[in-house]
Parts: sequence; structure tokens; C-alpha cells
Amino acid sequence: MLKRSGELCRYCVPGFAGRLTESEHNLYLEALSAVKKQLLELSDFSHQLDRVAELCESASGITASRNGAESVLTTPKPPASWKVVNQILKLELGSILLCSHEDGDGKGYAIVQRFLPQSLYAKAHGAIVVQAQGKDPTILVQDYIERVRHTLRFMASDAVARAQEIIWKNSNDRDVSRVVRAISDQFNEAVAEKIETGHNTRMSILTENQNNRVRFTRRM
Amino acid sequence: MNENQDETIRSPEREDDGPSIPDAAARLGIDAFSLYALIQQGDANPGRSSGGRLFLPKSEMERLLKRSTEKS
Repeated sequence: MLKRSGELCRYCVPGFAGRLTESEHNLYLEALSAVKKQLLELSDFSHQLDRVAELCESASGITASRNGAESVLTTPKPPASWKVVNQILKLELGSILLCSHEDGDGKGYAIVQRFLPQSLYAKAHGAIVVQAQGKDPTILVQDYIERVRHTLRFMASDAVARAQEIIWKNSNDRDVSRVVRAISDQFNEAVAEKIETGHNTRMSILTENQNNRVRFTRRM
Repeated sequence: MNENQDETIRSPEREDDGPSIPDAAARLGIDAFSLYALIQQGDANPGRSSGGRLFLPKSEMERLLKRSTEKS
């Protein structure tokens, strides 16, 4: 077995092809514990987006099935009543919904975000905020999905930076590049768009910033 | 991760530190996702630590909450 700095490289971690030594693994676990919640959130959001993207591509379309919690929402800006068509993203403290309403030009659609009404932010800015509007629900949702994926990559980038600070702080002048890479790869995998390819496999599409990699994994 | 995120930092903050974005979001009562989205839209201005971690300066937190007072 490979040795590094006198230690056996025997620890495998999810999403990282290499193996870590015991001291690298301890550092990895310490850093990961600080960003574990974000990792789970990002993975969950990414899966939710994959499902919505599949729905957009399906024959029935994004407007066919409704799983939003409420039927009608009222927004102050612009002043309108919106019928909930589908849920785009379920958040811990709110949700993002596809809504529709009839106006002078026919049917219009909007991506509407709901915050907890009692939150300090909602008290300042309102509990229901229109994020985007359009006439074509599929294009509207697909554009919004891309926007959210960009935000997820931004979140992942910051989580890795926070983990990196912890790793550097506890590095004791050792080479910790593999530990940083192990954390970074795990976040890259969490936010990668995934496409079902059949035969119990799925394809993870990593962005240009992730070295144009495509990874096939067995579906659990 | 090497997303070009510098574009989202609208102005350098004078304060050196503050809560992380997830911690600041919790104080605001919103998901971290929502605060990161506000930063990307330019509606919230974070600072950046020497290690590259984003944080929300106290002044920015107050600014986000001040709107409530101004509106009510």
C-alpha cells in the first residue's frame, strides 16, 4: 500500500479517487463536519432541480402536475393573485414555486419565492417575492433552473473556502492539498447536474470549471 | 471550485469579519441559498476573509434589516 510521510494511504472518502493517510483523514473529517449541512443541502437541491428539469422535458410538461402547498398567493409587487402550478424547490425555510395568473395579454407565469412570514427578512422585504416572469412556463423554469445551479456552485465554492480555512489552520505546515481536493471534489459532485442513463446508472455532468469531466455512477 | 465569484463582491468592506453566510442567513430567518442568491443579484454585499471565505459584515446585516424600519 502507498505510503506518504511515513503513513499508509488507506482511507477512501466519497467523491475522491485518491486515498488519504490517517492524519489527512482526521483533518478531512474535522473540516467536513463544519460544512456537512451545506453539502447535504446542495445535494438535495441539486436532486430537486434534476427532477424539475426532467419534468420540463417530459411529455406532460411542468404545468401538468401540481405539488405546491397552497393554491393561491398574493404578491404586492407586482400586485397580483397567483395560482400555484408546481413546486420548483423546497427549502428549509420557504419554497420556490411556479405560479400562473390571467392578465390582459392572456396567461402569464412567474417564479415566486415564499419566505417564512415571521422571519426578519420577510418583515423587511415581504414574505412573497416574484423572482422572474414570462409567458412560456417551460422556458421560464429552465432559465430559473440554470440561475439556481449557478447559485449552488457559488454556495459550494464558499463552503470549500470555509473548509479550506479550517484545514490550513490545523495543517501544522503539512501538505494538505489532497485534503482540500477531497472536500472540493465532494462539493463538485453534489452540485453536478445528473442525467439518468438507464441500466441503474446516472451521468454527472460537471461544468467547464470542473474540468469538463463526465462521471458515471451507479444509482443507489 | 473555481467559479469566478469576484463579480458578486460589489464593494470592499471595511470590516474585517462577520458571520458566515449560512450564519447570517439564519439570523435573517432565511435559507443560506436565499442569501447567496441575494449576493449574486447584488442585493447584499459580503466581505471576503483573507482565506477567501465570504462573510456578512455587521453594517450590511443592519442595512438589510433597516429597510424594514424605513418601510413600516
